[in-house]
Amino acid sequence: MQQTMEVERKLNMKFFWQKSNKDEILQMEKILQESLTPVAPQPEFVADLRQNLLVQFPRWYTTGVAESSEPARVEKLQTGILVASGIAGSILLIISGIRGILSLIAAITLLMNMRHNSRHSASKAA
Amino acid sequence: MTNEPGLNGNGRFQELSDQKIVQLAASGDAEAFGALYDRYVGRIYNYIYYRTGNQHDAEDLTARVFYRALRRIGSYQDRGLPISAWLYRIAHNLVANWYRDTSRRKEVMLDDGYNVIAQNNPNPENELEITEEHEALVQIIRQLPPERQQLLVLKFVERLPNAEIGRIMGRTEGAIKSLYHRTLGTLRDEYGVDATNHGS
Repeated sequence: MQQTMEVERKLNMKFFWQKSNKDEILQMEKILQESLTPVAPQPEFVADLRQNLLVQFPRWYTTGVAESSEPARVEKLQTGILVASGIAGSILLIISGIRGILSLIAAITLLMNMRHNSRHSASKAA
Repeated sequence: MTNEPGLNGNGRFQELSDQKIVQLAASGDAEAFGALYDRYVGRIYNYIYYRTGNQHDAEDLTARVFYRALRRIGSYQDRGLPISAWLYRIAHNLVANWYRDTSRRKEVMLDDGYNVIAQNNPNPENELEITEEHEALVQIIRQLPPERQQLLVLKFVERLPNAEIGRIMGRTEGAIKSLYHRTLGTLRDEYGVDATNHGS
């Protein structure tokens, strides 16, 4: 019996919380509807800007086409240079690495030979 | 806003779709560009106004949006998105640059916000209270991430449906709904809406 009452109480609380949450969201929506109202730009501003745009249209339109294609070409060239530089750098890095490893092997071999020779001459002398 | 008298008053283009007008403008028809301007200047101004908070910068950035559109109209490619998405994208980028370059975010004044409320409110004694509430709310909105601000402006100022907002913002309708509810939740928490106190 007590368990049933507890479950019922929890369900009531959940319902109350959900209803309250929904009410608050709806309330927020209402406040936003009242606050965020359209603002009309000044008619003089709208008219002046329109006039300026139309006056400048022929000049900007013709140069605009050229301008818009030029950056794309430059961008492609830059990307190409970057990729080529990256590949060249990687090759140089690999070559340097191989050279380093070979030098190390050569140095180790030299040391081993020197040690071998010194032992050999010591045993000969003995 | 787009149906406002005087802004769409170019008879030759009134019946044409945005895509057709853009095609004409892209082929060098200055009047077509003018018609496009007439259709969208109000919406772009509103968007920028609510993002920047003052008339001066809203006018400056609106002009830049259309100059940039003018420079790029010749190479405009129709990817199936509404032309408004392209213009809003330009506006969005310019507002982002404006915030970054001038670091004015913390200095934004709501001077014109008071005027808007005053014009819309016929009851003068409630004016101050409503204006203060409005100021607090708009301040909170400006602290939101840009995409959430954009969503609120498109939803409440432009009164656009979720599907169109989704097309403009490059998201699905479901994603817009989800973002909208999360945004309302954030605003409710920040603004401190109490359903019992704001019932009227």
